[in-house]
Amino acid sequence: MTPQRSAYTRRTVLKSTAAATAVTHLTSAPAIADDGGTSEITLSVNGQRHRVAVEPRVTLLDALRERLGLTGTKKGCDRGECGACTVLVDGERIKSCLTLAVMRQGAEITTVEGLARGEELHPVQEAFIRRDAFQCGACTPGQIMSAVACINEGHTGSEAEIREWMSGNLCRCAAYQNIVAAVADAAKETPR
Amino acid sequence: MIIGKPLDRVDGPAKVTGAAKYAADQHIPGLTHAVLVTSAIARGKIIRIDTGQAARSPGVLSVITHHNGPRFAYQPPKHPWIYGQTHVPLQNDVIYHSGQIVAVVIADTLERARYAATLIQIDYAVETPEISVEANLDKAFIPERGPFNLRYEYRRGDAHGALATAPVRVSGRYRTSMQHHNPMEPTATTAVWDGDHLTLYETTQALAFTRQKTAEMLGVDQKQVRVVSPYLGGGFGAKGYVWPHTFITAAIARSLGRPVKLVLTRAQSYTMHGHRAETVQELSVGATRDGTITAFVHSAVSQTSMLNEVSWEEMDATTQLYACPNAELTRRVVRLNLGTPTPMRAPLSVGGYALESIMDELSHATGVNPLELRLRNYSTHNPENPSQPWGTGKFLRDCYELGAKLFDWPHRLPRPRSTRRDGGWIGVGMATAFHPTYVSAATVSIRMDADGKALVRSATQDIGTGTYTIVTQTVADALGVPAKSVRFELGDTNFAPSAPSIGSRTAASVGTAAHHAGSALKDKVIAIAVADHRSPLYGIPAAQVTAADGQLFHRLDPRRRETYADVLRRHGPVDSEAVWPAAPGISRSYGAVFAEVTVDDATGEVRVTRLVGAFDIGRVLNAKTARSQAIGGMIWGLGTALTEHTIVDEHLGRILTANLSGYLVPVEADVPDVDIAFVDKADPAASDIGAKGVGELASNGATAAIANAVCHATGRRVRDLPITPDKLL
Amino acid sequence: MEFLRPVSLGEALEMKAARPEAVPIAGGTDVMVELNFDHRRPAALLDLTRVAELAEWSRDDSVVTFGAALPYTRLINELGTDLPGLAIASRTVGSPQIRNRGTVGGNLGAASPAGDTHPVLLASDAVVEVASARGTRSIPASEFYLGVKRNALEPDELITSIRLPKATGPQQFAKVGTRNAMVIAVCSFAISLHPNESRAGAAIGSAAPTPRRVRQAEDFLTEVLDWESPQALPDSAKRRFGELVASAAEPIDDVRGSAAYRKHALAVLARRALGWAWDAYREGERSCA
Repeated sequence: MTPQRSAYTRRTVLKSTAAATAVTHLTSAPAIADDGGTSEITLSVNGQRHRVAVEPRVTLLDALRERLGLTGTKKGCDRGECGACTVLVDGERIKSCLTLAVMRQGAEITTVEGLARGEELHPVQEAFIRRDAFQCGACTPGQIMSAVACINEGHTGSEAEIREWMSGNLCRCAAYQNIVAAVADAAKETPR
Repeated sequence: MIIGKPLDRVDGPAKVTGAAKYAADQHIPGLTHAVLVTSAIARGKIIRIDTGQAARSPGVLSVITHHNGPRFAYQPPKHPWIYGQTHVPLQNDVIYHSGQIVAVVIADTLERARYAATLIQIDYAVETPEISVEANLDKAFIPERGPFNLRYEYRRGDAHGALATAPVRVSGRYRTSMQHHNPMEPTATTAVWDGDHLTLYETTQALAFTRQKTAEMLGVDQKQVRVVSPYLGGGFGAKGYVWPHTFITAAIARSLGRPVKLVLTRAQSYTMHGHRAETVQELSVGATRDGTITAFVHSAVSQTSMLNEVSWEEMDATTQLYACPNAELTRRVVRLNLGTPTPMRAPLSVGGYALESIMDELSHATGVNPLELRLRNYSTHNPENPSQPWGTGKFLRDCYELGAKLFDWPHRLPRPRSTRRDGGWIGVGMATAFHPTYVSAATVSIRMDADGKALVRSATQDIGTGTYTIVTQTVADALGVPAKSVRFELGDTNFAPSAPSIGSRTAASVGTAAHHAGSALKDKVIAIAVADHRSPLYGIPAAQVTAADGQLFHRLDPRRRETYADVLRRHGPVDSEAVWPAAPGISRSYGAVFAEVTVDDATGEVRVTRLVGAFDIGRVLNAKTARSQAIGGMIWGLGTALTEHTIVDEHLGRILTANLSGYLVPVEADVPDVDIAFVDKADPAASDIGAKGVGELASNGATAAIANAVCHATGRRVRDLPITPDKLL
Repeated sequence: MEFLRPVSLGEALEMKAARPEAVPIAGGTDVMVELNFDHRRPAALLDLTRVAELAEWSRDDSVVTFGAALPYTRLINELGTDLPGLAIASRTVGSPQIRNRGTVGGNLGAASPAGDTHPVLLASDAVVEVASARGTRSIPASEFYLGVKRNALEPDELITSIRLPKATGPQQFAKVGTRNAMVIAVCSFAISLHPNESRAGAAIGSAAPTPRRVRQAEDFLTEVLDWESPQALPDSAKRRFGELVASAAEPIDDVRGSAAYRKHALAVLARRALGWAWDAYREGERSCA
């Protein structure tokens, strides 16, 4: 047996706050120092503005889930590989685990909670139920947000096109063909 | 009748709006966050662990290692049935596998806990890990059967003798890979103590298991533990048993005096709750020249962990599916420095892949069409007990017929490597799907209020299979009310104890209890009505009263009627509860799967172009959800056939594919439209409502059908899963 | 960790000069993966999403210049006609969600051998424009990649833009992956025909410590291709080209594939991509004639 230093050890994380102050005055948008402390930012989600205190390292996904209580958006991998955290930012679909909350101030964010109008479901939501486009439901919010964007982008010309443009969202229950059917249905009902 | 109809999922609106609260979605005041630190080595000891810097990091509330780890009231035994594994981390310095829990950091936010976890410094004394099944075949041994009564050896007749004298003999050595379940929802535990009572918001396929084993570990009474799991984002076996992270989180929350939430990272899910074991299988079949099988000899070796000896990969299809007088099955295990395996949808598919591949090889050897070969060896009686007819529970012939028609299976198969289309080789293949029927005791309670609405409760789970919906349908039919008058709540141990969602047993078990609870409640209300002089049904013999569409009426004079609500407004709420003890007759589930592939023989890329499955699942409870489950199962088999394998560094013992870009589950663009047919004949031997399992059955068959199609397309028999492009060159 | 938010390129460069250890972030598709698991915890992050000029593009008669922070989706939609090879490669990056945020600048910054756009940049003679408070530099793509995840950037420099000649002939990109989408390349290949110079550029990815040009294979094409009166290429020439491409590779065995498979697949990709590109060129010549 030979002693070995763990690869887990990381020493690169120590920060220098001295330099931070020196830089701050250069910025028109003030730098946010992360001394384990937080700063207040404003996020506009589903038409509502939220003041929220976060550290810079907090992802948009964690801000939505852990700070705003909007748990409809799911965390499946935290690496951009599954699509469960897909939200719309200014109408474009992105993976909310791959963006920092502080980078999305001033943007209009739409999550799965923001699609229905009261009891009236969005056509994509209705189509997902009608076509049984989910089983366990864990990937579903991401699939639905991706589907809304896919339709807006006009990528619903054929089944093959839908398959390609819905491939950023994994579904382990493999509701894939039902998802294609739901997106095709909703595309017909959604005015572009 | 609502049963069988393609009713939309009743939990649909909650799932499509984000309102459904999963285990990690609970809002708990004062919540703290746990992050796990895992072993960087696969075998050895921790010689120093320095937590000073982590403990001083902002927001950190506690750092737990084996020095100060929680001590438990119980030690899971050698055969830890319903515990996932025997080993309890944080008790000593020994490392059995890479990714083992070696420390836990608790902080006020997830980010702070995660950061502090990186500050822990660990020195290890490293030993060379055992990682390879192949390199350790000589150490393979037959384990004890254990409390689950797993069967490792079976013999009938003289298999070796019959094989030696068989006019046609085919042998193959098949390898299947280590695989991971990868449900989209990561495993999560939130532990909230109120005095000496614990509430666990848990990702579990078995509320009762979690409750029982967490209580046992913590040394508290089961009544002090409540487990809540109204929605589960898939499990596929990974969330079936009780694994250490659950009771460790609960213990830390107790000592900390704060609620604690732990969500495993995707990478941690590769070492925290089991995997499908890698296997090496030798399978031989002997037959007459016309393809009548005379012998099977099947010998398998699979991986297990250092502290557990178990193989979940049962291979009973070899000895139970086809009529064959002589058979021998031996299953051994080798210990490796990897985690303890656990069942993964579906354990039988691992041996089933080998069996259905060798059937295809026998077909090539005898020139008998693969479908005809299977019909020629059809078993009408249990091959393990020839006096026992399969009876009305087996409709495999119907499956073959339905599937072959839907697929347009050729009577004469073109020679392998003879059909090209668009630059690719085309091939077709088929396989039989086989799965035992499991059932468990289940209890369902119903309260009907004065408004005539039924609130149904049972401590079971909906892992995505449609439990919410089919139980709603079953109760609605039993009561004779519309589905919208029934509300089903599950996922809480405060409800009546019920079936775990493992082994495809929920629908048959809970559905049967639900049927009986509904019938009992109907009978009670009828009894009240016929005894009540204010009722139009007063004085009618109860047996002559029935219900439909929310109305109770006289069978012989349907004008005499009133609604449930009418009766209950006068009488007050009525309760019923039914326990189904689960004592089934012998039953199996069957299916026939057909696949077509295109293979680019220059790059080795395989594309599945058609997939058809015909299944005998007993009575279909919901045509829509059953179809979805069957499709999902077949795509599961497709992943096993073509893309999925967990790769371990052979020197370090670390999993190299512990993410979703290295471990490739099929994506939207990988899958064809799947066509499904059901025989839809009730199997009374399986359950009182005639239903059997779907999910696992449907994941059997597709893997072998695709592998057989690849062989037909290319002339190349790959006996090593997954069939990645390099293996076809 | 400090979060720096410049609103102009000048400001960004000043910040990078003052804090060379600051990690630039734009699309976030590479950096965030490391941040989320604390695999990397830089002292500072330099958020480039507010620097408008980094997401702009311009073109003249012969050259397209686009900002390092231009997302793939915009590149495909707005520049696809001028830069077909880059558009094809960009289409294979990750998923639609990733392409809405991910950038060629990020691909270059990460300098992963498996980055999808690298072979096209090499085959198309791209130039990487970099800047610091000290001034600007133009680095040809062929000199940009130094090693596995290492590039020619100095610590105080930022990638500002990428400059490519407009396509003058057909361009192709092909990659092999075990899945049909969301897949990291097992290996990849790009070819750009430059009829105006009577030559072709070709490069490989995921097949050596860095993406690399395949010069011998390019030279072979210079010898065998008749640009004036283009003829159908014999299979033997395509095969020879494939062999030369494969021989330039120095792949490793990893979880995505074996070295032997990579070499084999590269030869196939090269053979096919050359065929498609050359056929398109011949088609174009015929229709012009």
